[in-house]
Amino acid sequence: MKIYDLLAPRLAPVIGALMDTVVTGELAEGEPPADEDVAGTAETMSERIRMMPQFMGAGMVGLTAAFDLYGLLRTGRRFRKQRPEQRRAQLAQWKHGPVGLGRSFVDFYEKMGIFVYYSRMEEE
Amino acid sequence: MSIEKIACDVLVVGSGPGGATTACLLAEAGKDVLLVEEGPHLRLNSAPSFSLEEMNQKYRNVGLTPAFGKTQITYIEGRCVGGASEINAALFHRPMPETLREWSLKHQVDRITAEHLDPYLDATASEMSVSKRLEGLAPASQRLVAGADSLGWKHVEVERFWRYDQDGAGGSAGQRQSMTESLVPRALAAGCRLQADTRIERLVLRGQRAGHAMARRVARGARGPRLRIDFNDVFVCAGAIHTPLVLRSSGIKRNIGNSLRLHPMIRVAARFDEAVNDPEFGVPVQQVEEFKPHMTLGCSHSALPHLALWLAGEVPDKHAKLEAWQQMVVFYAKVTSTGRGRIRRVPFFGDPLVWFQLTDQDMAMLGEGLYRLGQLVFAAGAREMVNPIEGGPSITNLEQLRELRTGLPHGRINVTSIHLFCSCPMGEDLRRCAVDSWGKLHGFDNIYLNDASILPGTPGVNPQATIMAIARRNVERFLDRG
Repeated sequence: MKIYDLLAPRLAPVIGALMDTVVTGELAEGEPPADEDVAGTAETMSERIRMMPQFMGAGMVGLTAAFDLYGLLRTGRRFRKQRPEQRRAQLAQWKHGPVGLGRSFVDFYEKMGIFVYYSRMEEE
Repeated sequence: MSIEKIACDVLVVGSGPGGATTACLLAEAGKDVLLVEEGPHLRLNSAPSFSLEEMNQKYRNVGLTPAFGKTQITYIEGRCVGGASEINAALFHRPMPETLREWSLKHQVDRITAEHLDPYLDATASEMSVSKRLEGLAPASQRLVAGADSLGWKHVEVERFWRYDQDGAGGSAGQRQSMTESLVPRALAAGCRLQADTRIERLVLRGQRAGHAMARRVARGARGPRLRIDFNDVFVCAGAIHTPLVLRSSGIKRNIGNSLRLHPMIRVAARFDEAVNDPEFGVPVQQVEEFKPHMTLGCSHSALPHLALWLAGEVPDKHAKLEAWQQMVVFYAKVTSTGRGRIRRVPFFGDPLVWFQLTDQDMAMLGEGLYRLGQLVFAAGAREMVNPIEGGPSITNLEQLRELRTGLPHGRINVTSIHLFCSCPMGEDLRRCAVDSWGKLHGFDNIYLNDASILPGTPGVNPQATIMAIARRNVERFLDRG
């Protein structure tokens, strides 16, 4: 069994919150995305993390959990529980932060998340 | 617990262009061939080309495979029966004579000059219905041609592995000749057996011979039962990353996985005043060859999800750009690299860990490629180019590219690659080569490699035709040896 399979139920709300922030941010000037489209994007992203090479998937699981907990230090709430503006601020902090791994983490969710979102829209 | 056993005369590991060619020609010569593929056996049209669904079905790790280094490179591999031929643009390029001459001299490869290889390339082109596009040029290609013409640059329409039936049965769009449409059915008709969803974990060695292979069923990513495959000879054709992984997992390490080469690519989206993007045309087939073999410019598949991917992050006026996505096209510059990569097996996980160091010279070449792209798209009438450095201003004139021309900054641009090779190079120079001039592993009696991993250097062009021609040549020598 992959590490991701063990932790998937705990990570799903974090990935959902990440995708909500990314997709809403990308479409900021247009119509807000439908909840079910964001949820579908998050589900597909979870599956893609599960399909990563195991050593990378394990790293992504660790980083996603760390990102969620980092919110506790910053705002007293885990990322998944934060308000939208707090989430955007935390994402921007990691994206422009000094830690390369943190920047790569945000880059992955931003780029792949938006690719998945538009792919799903195109299929529909 | 008993392990399932299978026996064959020749085991072929991997069913991409190298493996399918090998299996087909050996089976047609009367050999008892078992073709083993880690991925599933799917129809060519089981998913739309370049779609998320296709990535999920046919790409290794759903397309998420990075090579680590100062600048991370995302590379793509097929993981299905037919390998890369099921997911690529099916472009047919002959290797340049000077490239082959260099391989012959530097790596001491016998009989690899254009004169020797041309008959095999001709046979490949003929059997694989290589042809020019009948449907006319995509709007993006027309733009590329207009830009190149105004600059006086040489450009060509690249032929493809593509079949158009004379009676129209293939439809006006014809059919890509991937391995599942061509050599795999031929191999099966000649008696070859195919085991999909089966991963070769290692070869078991007895002195200078491989005695058998240990494999595992891996349907839908799940670890299934193990099996043992006995053979007389084995051809490992699992691609530039997984061929060395299989060998290193078997304890074979001399010149294996130490010299990976690739073609790095930089992509940028350009915006025009009118509609130029029609994904129905597939991958545009015009390329600028003015700077070949060190640099090739062209257009990528630019459907909305792909454009959104290249526009993700901090891009000025992004929403307006995506609203007018039919006015935007993704262009690429593909360069030859002087960098080298290493492939190692991650302990306990079994995955490959790929390190590739782009050199400062590579970053300068990519910078030059970006500048040339700027020249091309502005000459073609583009209004702006999206800055490949995230957060940078849109590029509206060539002056903005002069600084980047001298070298792109490490770690701040997205570099991709779809062409990987040279991880187990061929040649008679024992200091650097893993296999001899005909793909036989140095120091072993019955282990052969016959895929992208044995190319001795960077071809500078799409390598599929070169891989298939060399595979034909090597199989012919194997059969001649008896």
